Amino acid sequence: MKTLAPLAVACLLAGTHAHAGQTIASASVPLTITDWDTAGSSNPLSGQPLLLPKYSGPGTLDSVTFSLRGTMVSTFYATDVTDNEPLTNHLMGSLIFALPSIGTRTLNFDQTDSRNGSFGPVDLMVVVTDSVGVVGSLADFVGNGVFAVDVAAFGTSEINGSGNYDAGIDTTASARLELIYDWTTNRQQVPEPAALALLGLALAALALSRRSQRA
Amino acid sequence: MTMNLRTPIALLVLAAATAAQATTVIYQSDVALQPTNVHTFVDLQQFDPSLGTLQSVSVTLSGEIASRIRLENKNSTPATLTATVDATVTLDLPNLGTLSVAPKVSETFNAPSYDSVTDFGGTSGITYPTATASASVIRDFLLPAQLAPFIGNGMLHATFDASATASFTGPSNKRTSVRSDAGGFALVTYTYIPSPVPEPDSWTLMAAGLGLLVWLASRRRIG
Repeated sequence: MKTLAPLAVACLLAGTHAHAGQTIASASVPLTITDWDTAGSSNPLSGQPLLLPKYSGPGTLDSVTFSLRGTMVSTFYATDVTDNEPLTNHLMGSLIFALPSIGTRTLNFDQTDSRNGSFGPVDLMVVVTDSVGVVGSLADFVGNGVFAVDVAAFGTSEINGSGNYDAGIDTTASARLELIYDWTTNRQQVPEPAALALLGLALAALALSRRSQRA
Repeated sequence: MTMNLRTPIALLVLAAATAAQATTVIYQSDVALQPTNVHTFVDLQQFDPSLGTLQSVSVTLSGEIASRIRLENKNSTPATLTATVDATVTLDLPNLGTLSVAPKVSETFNAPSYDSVTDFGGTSGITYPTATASASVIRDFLLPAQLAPFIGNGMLHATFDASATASFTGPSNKRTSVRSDAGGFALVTYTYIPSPVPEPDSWTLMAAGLGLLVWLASRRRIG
């Protein structure tokens, strides 16, 4: 029976295990006319605020990851008043996220489309995604309440070509920021009845076998 | 005996009139400003071989671009808009190559945020007066084979082309408008040695001089 005691303790200890989990929060700006920067320049950045919750439990925060997604749509139209000369529509722009503990992270948009002569509204849409993890202290992300991430959008789309044309460009952008908290809990779990029954069964079987050996 | 002294003087006068001296003659052909793209012909007057011996030809191409640019910032933030019109003007001389120039006009507009009216005016819009720019290039021809096409009593047909490309930078909410005209001129300069043929005026002058001598001699004889 003496050899059985440590075995039973080990079985009980196995009931204490780490539990990992993930909490995801997100915030977004719907398609909004560019530029988003009230100061009119990227320095200092003063775009649209994205509000995200801090990590308030239930365990220990292990890592913080930002998942960025941006969309830019430019609508182009042109009237070539002389002839069907080539015109190039060029969607260009960027979304700049001011991420805490990381700094600015930029998504760049670039797409071209060539046409001849006049054309009605032509939409170019580009979606860009990016992901970045926080390296170092996560203390800033732990607590109650929310924090704000500024995102600015700048568009520089162009129509170039002929020497005689009227043209227009309208541009909107949207931004989505996802925040992923990876955490673990490390607390003692109460052994479940089924596990205890199994242990009892095993002990009974051992006792039975010993008794039968003695006999 | 007096006549024997005077005759060489008359001959010297004649020699001076026919001394070899390079002379130039210039012809110009214009291409009026017209909407781009321009594709037309320029007729250059050839060099009349009876004038003398052609030494060299120099062809000048001058290209001009005139653009009317209008801009409107539709951003809700202030922005800098720029407009540039790049023109390429070429003169193609058959079998002699192509002359090319690239005049360029540009405008920069520091616009405040959109004033809610798309009129190329107000605070966020601007209408520039016509901006013009010109550029020129000269090419010389000296080899006999190059000079040959320029000699004759007709015209040398050259092709004149002008194209323009407008480009705009700035915010991606904007209205732009551009109208471009291009034109220019071609100028041909012929440098030649005039033919050693005295002009009618010289002949008249000599005849008058000789007549005077004869008249004086006869008067002396009579006297």
